[in-house]
Amino acid sequence: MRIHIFASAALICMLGLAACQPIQAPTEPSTTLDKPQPVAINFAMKVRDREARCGEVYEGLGASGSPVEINDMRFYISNVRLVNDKGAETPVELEQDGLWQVENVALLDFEDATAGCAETGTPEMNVGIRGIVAEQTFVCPECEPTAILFDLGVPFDLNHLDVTAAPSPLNIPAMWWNWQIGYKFARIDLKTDAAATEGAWFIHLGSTGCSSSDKNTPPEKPCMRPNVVSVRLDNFDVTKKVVVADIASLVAAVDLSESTPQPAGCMSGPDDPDCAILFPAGFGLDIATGACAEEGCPTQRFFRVE
Amino acid sequence: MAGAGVVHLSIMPEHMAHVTAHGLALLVFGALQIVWILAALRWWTRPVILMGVALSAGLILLWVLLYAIPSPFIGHLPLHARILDRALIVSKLLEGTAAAVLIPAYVMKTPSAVGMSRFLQAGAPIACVVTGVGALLWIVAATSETLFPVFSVSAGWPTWRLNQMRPALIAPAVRSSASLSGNSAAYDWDLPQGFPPPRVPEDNPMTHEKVELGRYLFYDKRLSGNGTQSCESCHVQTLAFSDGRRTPIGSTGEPLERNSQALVNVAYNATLTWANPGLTELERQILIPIFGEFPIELGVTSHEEEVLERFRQDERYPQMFATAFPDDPAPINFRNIVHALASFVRSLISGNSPYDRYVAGDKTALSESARRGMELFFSEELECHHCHTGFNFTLSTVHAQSTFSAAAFQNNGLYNLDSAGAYPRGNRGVYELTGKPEDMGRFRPPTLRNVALTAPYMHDGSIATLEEVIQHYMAGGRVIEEGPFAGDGRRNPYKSGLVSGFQLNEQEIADLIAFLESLTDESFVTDPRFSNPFEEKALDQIADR
Ligand code: HEC
Ligand code: HEC
Repeated sequence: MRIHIFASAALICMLGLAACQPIQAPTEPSTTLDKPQPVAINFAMKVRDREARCGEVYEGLGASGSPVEINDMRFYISNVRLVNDKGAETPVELEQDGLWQVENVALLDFEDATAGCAETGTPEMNVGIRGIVAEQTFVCPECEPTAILFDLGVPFDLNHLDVTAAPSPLNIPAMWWNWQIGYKFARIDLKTDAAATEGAWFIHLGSTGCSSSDKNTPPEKPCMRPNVVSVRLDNFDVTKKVVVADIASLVAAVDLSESTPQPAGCMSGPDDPDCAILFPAGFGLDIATGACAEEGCPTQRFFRVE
Repeated sequence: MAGAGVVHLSIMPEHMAHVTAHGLALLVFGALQIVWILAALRWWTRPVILMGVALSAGLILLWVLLYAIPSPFIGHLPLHARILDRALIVSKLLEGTAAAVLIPAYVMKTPSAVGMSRFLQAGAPIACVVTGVGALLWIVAATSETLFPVFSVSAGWPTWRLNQMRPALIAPAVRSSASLSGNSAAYDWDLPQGFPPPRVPEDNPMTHEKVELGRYLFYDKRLSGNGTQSCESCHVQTLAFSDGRRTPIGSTGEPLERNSQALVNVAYNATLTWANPGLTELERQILIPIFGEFPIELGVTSHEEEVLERFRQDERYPQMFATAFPDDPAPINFRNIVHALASFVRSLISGNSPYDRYVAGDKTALSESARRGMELFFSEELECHHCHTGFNFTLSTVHAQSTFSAAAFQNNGLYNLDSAGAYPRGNRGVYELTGKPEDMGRFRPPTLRNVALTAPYMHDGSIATLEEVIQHYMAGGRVIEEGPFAGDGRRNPYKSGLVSGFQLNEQEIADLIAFLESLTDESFVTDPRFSNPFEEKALDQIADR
């Protein structure tokens, strides 16, 4: 009996120690490793080199050289990582501010609900993300940050919440379709010279091919076409550089003077002719599969570093 | 220890609904802790005490591990461990106390061996067992998590449960803002499934007494200067508190420019009335029908004392005011009248339509036709949902958990008097207040709940039926051929880009109407809590005789 107890105690003990092994390992070699470092990453919304603002008219956009006014400009990013010149990739853990950031998703909001943006917008704006990152990513003396990676989109497990009950910033009805499709990852509403739609040229990026019994039911499995853009931007020094989202280069290949109605512009429909050019040329996405046209979406033209 | 067990068991069902594995783990921990108590009472021996140490200190270690090491747990993204909810604090404190008692007890029971202190002799097994249990559980949890289904999603568990869990777990800031309405906890909202708690101003918390007083006032013609009108004159329960007229006429015969709004879930409207971005509180809005002079509605202005005197002389009101406003020595005043009316209007919550029953899981609640109409309504082709979105079918929605402003106003192409986008004078939407050209014709998108009962439609009641409303949207605006309002609304430069027209056949139009009709909540328009109390009294008296 005594042996029995001893043996089982020993077994638990060994398991315990074995379990400790991988857990303690990383903390041993260096104590600086787990020292988190605050990081703020700045974003900007531009039309070429001009700041994008509600109520202003920008000339010469798209293949048609159309005049454009912006009625909305917001997008969700997630899964932000920084890479240093040693190739190490570290996730940025977002501060949970109860407003703009939740879990690993952040909303960037460049509209201020004035002029045309009043239709659906909010006066509050957010032009950067805040979080912590393991110190060695970019503060170690010998290494330099070289790239930023993030996804334009909301990950599946957070994409099909009820907008009414979801935590901020996933609680904005204007950025949500329904349970089935989930959130509008990006909402860039433009007013152009497209006659067929009285100027409306809306870009709503989101998943498609999500299957559930109806639009009020969230899907169980990830959608057929996630339409999440994975972005990698090189030459990124977090202390000096800004991630620029450029509406002009996003729509550069698109004829903004034409749009097939139903809907006006591109709302991610896989058979919407307005998406056929915008998706590959602007977002670097394959419209048929909803994945990157090439591994890592290198052909996206929305984001750049400045 | 027993306390910790009870806490674990009590939070188990909630977690079971969230992620099955969490629920099972809590069930096991709680059960073990309680069984252990029974065992310890029976056999107070070293192995039993050691087990107790494992169940207290071991679980604390497990929690520390969860805190320290990012794990792949669903819902346990790094943040989770940082939130100390009440259950967590209580259970860890209880376990800590148990460990603090049990470890010395174990040490005392350990015989000292030759050459080794009693502490060393006892310390080794304790350390082993504690790390063993903690780490073993962590590993089991980390590897088995994915084996269990996320119950709430996979088994069709109603989503609102999952989602109610999430904010509670995730966003502490959200929780604190929800406590804004905390003072209304005494009031039982009886909210429909999926409805968040409404926002309530801090100086007018909801109480049943105020709501009941507000109900009497709402139906009382003595609240108008000349005693001819009450709120009900323009807000009739059977019509979802609209009035069935194009535009109403005030108590002194003066016509109003706007259609009487339905009073449906008004508590959630981001702004009040058809087009006023600055009007966000019912307490301020209700002053308008009572005191407004341009136009006169109830026309109380310059009859103030007279009206108050009517209530003071009444047999019922002095008592009702006193119980609704117990801290006010002279409670019959207009501030309290407005607060009571606002409380009653806030209580007018509607969320029990066939559509709601369908969403809650009763797939027979909607006809085939309504179901097809629902798909159309939420489609990218029709775009209705962009403006009529969310549980209250309007973008203009706020509630206790809202973190952003939600005022929304759009021009849906009803008029275009001068080809430059003009709407008829006096009814130019937000423009009337701001004078900004882009605000021309912008109105708040109304809720579509009970819309089948609220004809005629739009801010000026200028569309008679739902079918005509759909034709208006199909055309992408309204063309008025002749008369003072002639113009092509489809070409209104301020029209929203989301109203750009679409094509439907006869069947599809009927389907869409069937869907809109499925938003009618019969229980709302017959709810005795919202009905005319004076008629009820009259009926009672008849019954008494
Ligand atoms: C003469 C008719 C009339 C009377 C009497 C009247 N109302 Fe109204 N009510 C209206 C009209 C018209 C509107 C829309 C006003 C606007 O947009 O300018 C309205 C709007 C409202 C709204 C705003 C609803 C929303 O969704 O924003 C509330 C609340 C309201 N009334 C409550 C009341 C109360 C309470 C009373 C009694 C004290 C009352 N009304 C008396 C005609 C009336
Ligand atoms: C651009 C935003 C927008 C879109 C898209 C939209 N609506 Fe509306 N809706 C409004 C606004 C704003 C009003 C009030 C307009 C007014 O009174 O001048 C309104 C009014 C209505 C009304 C009248 C409600 C009442 O109580 O008077 C109905 C019914 C309606 N919409 C149904 C629909 C349907 C069905 C669709 C889709 C085909 C749709 N709406 C699309 C913004 C929109």
